[in-house]
Amino acid sequence: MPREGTRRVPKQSSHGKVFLNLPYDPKFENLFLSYICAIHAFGMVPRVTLEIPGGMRRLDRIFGLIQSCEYSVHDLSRVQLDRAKPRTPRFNMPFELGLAVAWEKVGNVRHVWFVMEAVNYRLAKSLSDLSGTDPHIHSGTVEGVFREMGNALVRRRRQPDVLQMWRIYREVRGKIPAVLRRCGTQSVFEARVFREISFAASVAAGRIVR
Amino acid sequence: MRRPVVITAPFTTPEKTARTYGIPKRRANELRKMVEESLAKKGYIFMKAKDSTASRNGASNRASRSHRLKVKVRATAKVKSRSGNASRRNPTRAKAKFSR
Repeated sequence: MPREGTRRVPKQSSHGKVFLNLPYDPKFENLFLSYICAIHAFGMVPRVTLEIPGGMRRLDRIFGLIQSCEYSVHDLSRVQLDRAKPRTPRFNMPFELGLAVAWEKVGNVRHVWFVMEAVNYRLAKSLSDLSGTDPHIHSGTVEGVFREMGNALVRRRRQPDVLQMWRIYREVRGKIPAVLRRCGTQSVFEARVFREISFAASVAAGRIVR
Repeated sequence: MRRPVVITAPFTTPEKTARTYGIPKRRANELRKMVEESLAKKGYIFMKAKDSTASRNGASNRASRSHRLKVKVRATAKVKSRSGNASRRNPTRAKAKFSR
């Protein structure tokens, strides 16, 4: 068990792994799926904090997951207050972005992070420390996520286009009811459902992106 | 102006993805089959159809399949002849030619 303050060295190679920092909100389901599909379209593997089992100190596990990824995508579009009283915004996503930025600065491995937003110029107000960093504006749409991922990443061989990402998305979307039934749940924001959906996206991407 | 990041890592395979997530092989195969069948229906990929007769005869291995593909059936279409004598002749029978 690592002590507080010690740096955890990732065991697996971080190549081609992407840490996804998103809100786990039913309204965000389509965008969640679109990120998974877009990352697989680029031949990479998304990792999310949903995969982290309970029992261990969550912060250590989250930081370990960030360290095990070469890239991280941080969606800061959900800045609204929630409905439940006391009404609060979610600070987890900016906090995890801070961890990723710190890892990029002090870690001895390559780590590239991207910030996504739905509304232009809002990040300058909500997180002014990032001034000088241009966020990718997806406008809260699936198409926007595909477009911005295509702008952020380039692959020399097997470069996916937006149409191919849509095909993967539709394919995975069609498999969700069967996966949910098998996992005995109604939410995609669960570890097992995420793994199976992500694997399905990987199979589809391998066949569609040539 | 943002510059896109060039991905240097190789395109991941479903096997590697399953290993990363710890998905059991059996479940991974089920999911793979489900997705591939759906893609085949939509025409994105072509799947080989199973020959039930051949499998029943025990000839479903790769060697026999490749051999079977080389079989050419040489058959001449029965042409309606003009003369009455010609029609009495035996029609050309279909003959399978095995080429190797």
